[in-house]
Amino acid sequence: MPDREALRIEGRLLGRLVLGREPEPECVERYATAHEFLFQESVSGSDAAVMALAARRPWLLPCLDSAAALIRPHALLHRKALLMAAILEASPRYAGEFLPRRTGWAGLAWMGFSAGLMTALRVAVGTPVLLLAGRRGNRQGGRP
Amino acid sequence: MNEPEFIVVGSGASAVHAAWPLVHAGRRVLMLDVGHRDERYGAMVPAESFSTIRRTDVDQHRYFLGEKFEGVPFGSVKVGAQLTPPRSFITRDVDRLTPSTAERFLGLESLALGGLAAGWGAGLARFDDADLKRSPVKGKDLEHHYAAVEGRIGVAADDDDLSPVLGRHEGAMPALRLDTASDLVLERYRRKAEAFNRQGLRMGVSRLAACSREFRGRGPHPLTDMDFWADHARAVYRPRWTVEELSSFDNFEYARGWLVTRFDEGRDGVVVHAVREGEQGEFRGRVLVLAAGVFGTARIVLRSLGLYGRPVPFACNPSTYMPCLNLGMVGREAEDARHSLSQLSAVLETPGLPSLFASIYSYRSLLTFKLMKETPLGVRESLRVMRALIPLLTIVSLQHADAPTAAKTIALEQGEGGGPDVLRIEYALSEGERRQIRVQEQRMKAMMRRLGCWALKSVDPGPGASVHYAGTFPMAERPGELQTSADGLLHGTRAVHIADGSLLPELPCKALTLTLMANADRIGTLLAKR
Repeated sequence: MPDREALRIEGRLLGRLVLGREPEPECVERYATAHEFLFQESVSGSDAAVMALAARRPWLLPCLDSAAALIRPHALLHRKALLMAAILEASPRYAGEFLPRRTGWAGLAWMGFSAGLMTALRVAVGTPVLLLAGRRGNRQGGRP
Repeated sequence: MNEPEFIVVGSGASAVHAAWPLVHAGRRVLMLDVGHRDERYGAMVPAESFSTIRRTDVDQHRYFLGEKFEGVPFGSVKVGAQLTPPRSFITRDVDRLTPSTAERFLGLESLALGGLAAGWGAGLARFDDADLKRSPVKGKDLEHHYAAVEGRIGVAADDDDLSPVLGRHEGAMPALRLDTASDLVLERYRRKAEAFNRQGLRMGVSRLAACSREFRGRGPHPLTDMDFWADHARAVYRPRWTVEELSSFDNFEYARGWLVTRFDEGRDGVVVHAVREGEQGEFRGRVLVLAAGVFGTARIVLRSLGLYGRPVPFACNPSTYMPCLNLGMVGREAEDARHSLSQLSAVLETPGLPSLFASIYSYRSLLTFKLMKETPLGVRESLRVMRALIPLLTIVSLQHADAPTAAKTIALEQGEGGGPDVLRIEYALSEGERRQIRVQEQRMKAMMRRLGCWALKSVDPGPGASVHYAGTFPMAERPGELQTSADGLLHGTRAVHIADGSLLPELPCKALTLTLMANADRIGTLLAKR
């Protein structure tokens, strides 16, 4: 189990992934508390390696998360990102960024195109990195 | 209260309506119940609309996510995982006090005040003779009791295309207002209703146990879209409201905290054994009315008769759901003022097959991250996609008929090492049943496309997810062992009556709770007259 300060750093990182900016400290604290309730199981070598890589290279985080969502949806990184999304969503400051938005046909087409393109690019970069980091983590037996 | 004449076990939809006619006839009734209730979240939820709460309440995370973040489920699905934190009391202590084991069956049991109906979706339908074909009780036997129960719980329903199949509700309040997305679907249906009818589809506004105006100190429904989280204005019916009404009578007593374990019959009546936090209790009455839910009643009967390991028949509506995109909603603003319950209902008839029942919801008042979790996209993209798609998202919940077979049974196993007895549930559909379900789903998918709703996929949440169970001690004309007579009397006993879903020999596709309540009222009325 990471210490509280490490969880705060992780929370800020994941908050930036979801919102594109740093979340307010209250949400980061809530993330650290939620982590203690929800992620009590021991972490596999590959998950630990991916989390360590994301902490060292935050710019890789969107690519790793996209790749994980597609090929390993139960990966720790993706679950932690979803937890941060849930916490931000249940905060009045950020709720507006999660509430449904009226979108016309053109908006839907653009959204589908751009989300598809971004996902393809991120998965293309993220998948080999995710697999390599995971394999290395497994070889090291959970020591990133 | 002096020694009760009647002991009613449970406080769910069946129990309270079995007790009602007894109490009103002046009989002394004791209701034994564990009676868990929400003591944590209810008071936190403001009486505001979902979208207002989302934008303003700084404490919303406490009830939307749960104080232990139990509303953020990861990993394997557990019993009750679909309940929101404010509804989690419904399954509290079930694993500890009334455990069950099943390979692939997701059974839901409740020890709460109001039982499973404390979180009921409030959908209503009357059963007709075809639905009751294996039962000695027919539609006309229930007619008066449907009306009596409806007058007690409050029904919001209009007379429309569904009335010939779901029944008419005389004296009902007007139906609750439809939301924008469902209004579009119904409008499309109405334009081609005759063609749809010829193909076996009937659609209408869902009949709900809810108040669209003031009724017995409840309602009107405030249309705050918070029905999954709170009982605003007490507009949606919960059995708890009936327990409160009954409690004003001197000849009714609600004894909370007691888990009934078994009964013994003597010459003068019945002795009921119960436990409360380690304390043993004995209650004496002339007649026992078991209405603890199908699983709860099975435990009590099988334990009392010493029939450990003996399988009894069992039925459960198979269910699936189809998330659909309602293309008519593209570019439209959805109104905030709405309810979160089933908006529309439909019945699809296919020649040579049992009917299919569909409940249609709009996905609005649950959190977005739950949908993001289901997509193969990273959080950033899935958030963008879901915000745009949620206004279009229509969930069609399908429910199929079911009858007991040799592959659907429950049996009670003796607990090990002093632990509680364990209910073993076995449930498997035959290849023929699965084929029928696939055919009906394909037909429904095609109908929904014609109504402008394109199914993204069909999701099978697994057997048991409908939470509609029946058939363990079925009523029969000439009851044999572990069967019941038309008044619910358990064969071989003198004064043990059953008044819940255990009595129904099979399950039609329709929502069953109204029939459970009407049948319980019928049994209570018969017993009150003796």
